[in-house]
Amino acid sequence: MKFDLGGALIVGLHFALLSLLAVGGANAVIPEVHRLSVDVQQWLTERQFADIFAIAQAAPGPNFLISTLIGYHVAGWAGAVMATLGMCGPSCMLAYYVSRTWERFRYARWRIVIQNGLVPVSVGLVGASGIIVARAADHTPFAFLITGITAVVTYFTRINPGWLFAAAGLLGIAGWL
Amino acid sequence: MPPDETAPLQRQIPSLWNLFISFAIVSAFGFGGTLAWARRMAVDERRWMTPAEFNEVFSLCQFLPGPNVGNFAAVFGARVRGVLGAVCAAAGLIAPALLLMIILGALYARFGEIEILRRALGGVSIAAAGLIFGTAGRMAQPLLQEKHWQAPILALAATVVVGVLRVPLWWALAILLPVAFVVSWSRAR
Repeated sequence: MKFDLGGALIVGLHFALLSLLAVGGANAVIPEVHRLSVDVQQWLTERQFADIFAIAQAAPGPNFLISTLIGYHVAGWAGAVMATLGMCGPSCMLAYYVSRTWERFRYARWRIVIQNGLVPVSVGLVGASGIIVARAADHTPFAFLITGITAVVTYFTRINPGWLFAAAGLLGIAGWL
Repeated sequence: MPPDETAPLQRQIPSLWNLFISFAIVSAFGFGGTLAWARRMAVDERRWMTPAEFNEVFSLCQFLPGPNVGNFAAVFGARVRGVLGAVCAAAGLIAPALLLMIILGALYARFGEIEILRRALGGVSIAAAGLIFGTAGRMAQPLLQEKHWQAPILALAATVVVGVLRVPLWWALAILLPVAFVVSWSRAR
């Protein structure tokens, strides 16, 4: 297995800087990740980037995984670990300190005003990401139907969506979607 | 109507191990982004938070830089168990995903094209889109119950501006957030 500590450190550092720009989640910096890894550093070709993006999107787990895969590609498992830590570490620490301050002003009026403004926009952004994922994934009427069924089941029941995912995965393998 | 999520909480404080395992499960199942699974775990199954509390914490995490769910794990872990809680929750979120990615990365490096895997994953992401919609609906419940008509409209505006019109996130937030703050400020007076 490939092991390249110097490369791993460089990848980790790049992703640490990127993560602090990633307002709105890891997907918000995907264009910048592309610029960095294909254009500037030339770690990947266009084709490899598209493949890695697809794998990271489709696999389970948080969507910062694309950094993990790129890290792996550049510097083996050490690169994967450093890229992941870079993507999560600094922003997690920032979130930790901000949330502690945030809690301290729990009953301050300015905090309540900001909070009540953030929440609806935040919920709306979740809806938007649903649309973005559906646009990328759904290419047939049957696919839209599956998306719709999953949405209804999720909204109205407590059934574990893993079952629907398994069914959809099998339909995908069978080539029906 | 969706299932009632307003029943009183257990309010038991999760142990460090509990935090690690719960977020590890979220990560291992989190197809199509882990938010929906994190909410299901914290609000539906473990009943550690009310829907409104989840929205509060998650909205903060969403507007801080970095991966939203990573932030959520750190903030939630810290709220219940301090620094160690944050570390355990974040580690739980990262560990299974990291392992899986190293395996997939090695497979990709070896075989390049994995047609069957790609098809299966393609099917799964179709269901994942539905999961996100359903979760957005659940998250909207506290907004609808507050009986302030502005909040659902703001949410809808965010969905349309970013999801349908594809306005870059920075621009969308630069427009939507000031409006949202003015609305909530005028309501608070």
